[in-house]
Amino acid sequence: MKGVRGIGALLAAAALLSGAPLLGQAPRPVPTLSGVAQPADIYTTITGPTGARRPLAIPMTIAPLQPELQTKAVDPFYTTLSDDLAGSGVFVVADPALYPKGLRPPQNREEGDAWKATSAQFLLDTHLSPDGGNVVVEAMLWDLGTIKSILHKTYTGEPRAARRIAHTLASDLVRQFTGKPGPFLTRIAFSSDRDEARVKEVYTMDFDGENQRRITSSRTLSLAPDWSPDGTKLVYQSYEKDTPGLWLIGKDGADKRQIPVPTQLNASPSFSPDGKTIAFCGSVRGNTEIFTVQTDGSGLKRLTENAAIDSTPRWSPNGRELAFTSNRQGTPQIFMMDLEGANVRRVTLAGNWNDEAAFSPDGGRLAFACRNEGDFQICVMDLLSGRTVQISSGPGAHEAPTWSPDGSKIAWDVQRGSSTQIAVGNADGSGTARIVTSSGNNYSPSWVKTLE
Amino acid sequence: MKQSLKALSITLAAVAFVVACSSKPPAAPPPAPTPAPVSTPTVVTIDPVATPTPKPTSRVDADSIANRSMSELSGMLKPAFFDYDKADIRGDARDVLAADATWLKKYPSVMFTIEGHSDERGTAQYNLALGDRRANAAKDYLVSLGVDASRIKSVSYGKERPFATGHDEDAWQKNRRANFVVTAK
Repeated sequence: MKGVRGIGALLAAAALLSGAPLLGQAPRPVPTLSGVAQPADIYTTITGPTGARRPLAIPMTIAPLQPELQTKAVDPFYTTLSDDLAGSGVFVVADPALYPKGLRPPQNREEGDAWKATSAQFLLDTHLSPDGGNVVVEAMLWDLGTIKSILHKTYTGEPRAARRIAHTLASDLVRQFTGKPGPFLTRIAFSSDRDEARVKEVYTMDFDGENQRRITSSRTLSLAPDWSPDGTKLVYQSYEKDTPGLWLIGKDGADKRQIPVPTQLNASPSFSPDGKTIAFCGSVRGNTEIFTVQTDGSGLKRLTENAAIDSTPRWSPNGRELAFTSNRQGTPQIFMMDLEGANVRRVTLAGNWNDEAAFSPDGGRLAFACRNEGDFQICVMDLLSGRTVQISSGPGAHEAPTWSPDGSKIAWDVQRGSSTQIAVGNADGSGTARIVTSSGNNYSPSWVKTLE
Repeated sequence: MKQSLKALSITLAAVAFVVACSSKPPAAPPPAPTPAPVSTPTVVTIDPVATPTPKPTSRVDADSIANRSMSELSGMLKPAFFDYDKADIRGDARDVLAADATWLKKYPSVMFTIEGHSDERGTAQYNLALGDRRANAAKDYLVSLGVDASRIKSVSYGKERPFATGHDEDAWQKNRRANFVVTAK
């Protein structure tokens, strides 16, 4: 086996590493969750525009020539790995068409240079082999400058877990460079009309659209799911009892129950960061206001008192503020307030419609659906500076943004013609957003809030 | 046609009665024949046979709600339409709702839901709030015209259940509406 060639270097590297991230491992200030105005260091590290991305070569996984193994394990593994890393915002994947034949791993500077000619600075060498009923994946990351392996990991699982192995490896590689795992093992909840006309049910899926699973069986409208902070359940709005209500359901569809509230509409539920309270848009005599309520229906509290429309509350990660939408100054705009409904201030100043705010996990940025003329796009505002960038593009209405738990990605729904689907893109707008759903129409994504 | 149908109905009813009674000894006197204008029970009897035939309607029936389905009755109440991102009752909607109120006051037993809808252009969550406001604006207007509030429920569907599926102003205007669903008569 070729990997043996580099074993000495591997051992040396392993001794050097001893568990610590190799690059950029100098202790960095971890962005705190406590202040909205904290500068987000990770923002500039992962997504900074200037050369932060590591050029990486990912040649095809080496495996025994077995057609079934190839289609069931090797291809899904390699495709998933490549997609994760190419979309990570941490790496730039060198063009596979330029890769040299063989030279895996490179043994000397000349062989390393052959790989570097593809623009890569790192090489991810993967081998997959059957082992009883399982497959074993051995992965080595080579620094092409020093011709040293800087990461060596082995993963074992059933062949059908090939995608999961790839997600795990991709996550480990991102952690190697950023100190934080990637979001590749996380799930997204959303609502879909694929089952029946006039019906939307809550679904969940892997962040890349795989393993889609229906959670509700309401046979009516079940909308706008939001994950509990621990990822064990979802809160959503459902029309199950004629009048729309707030419902909770376990992530596997068990333990469904209604949160009793006296208000009407009961839309846009949002879990507090401690998981104890739900903020939502309730209607009293035809006027929608922002309320909070405990998950058992106790402690109902009205936070807004305004004749205008107030809707779509979203909790800040520090649990002390809510963003919401109001047309109290004319057009719908995003405001913030504290949990007493005091200290209300307008956040979005440009554009004629800004809506559906979502805080980044570190609280430093706000994503929202923004519109001036034309279609809604997804905007991200740095809350400290107010600087706002549009991260989506193209025709169609882009709505309902939600952040990946590491803050590197944002998912939203986009309507093109008569089809609405979930898109996943990088939070800094780099790269091309991927459409990850296709069955029926799919709406209102909510990304799980923890990295496993 | 109507006369012959009625005659046939009565004949069928009589046959049915005879057949029904033939297995038992006659115990009670037959029920008094119903007065001719009230033909409802007879019509119901023959309906399964005569399904392709449109239901006979008379001037009297048109003015009654008993023979009409909930969806027919819902259709008799005209929707109010709204401007973009607005829930104000427009001039044209005032006329429509006034006619609806007149009808509703004539049939005080009718209970109904007002559905508020929006076009597809705002966000889903905001449109739910907007639809709620439209439904309640229509409700308030009806109440101001003397319709008992206890007969009215309201619900918002936002942009979840559009009537017109196009993506132009024509479709959008059709979808910015408050419409009626009769739930009891």
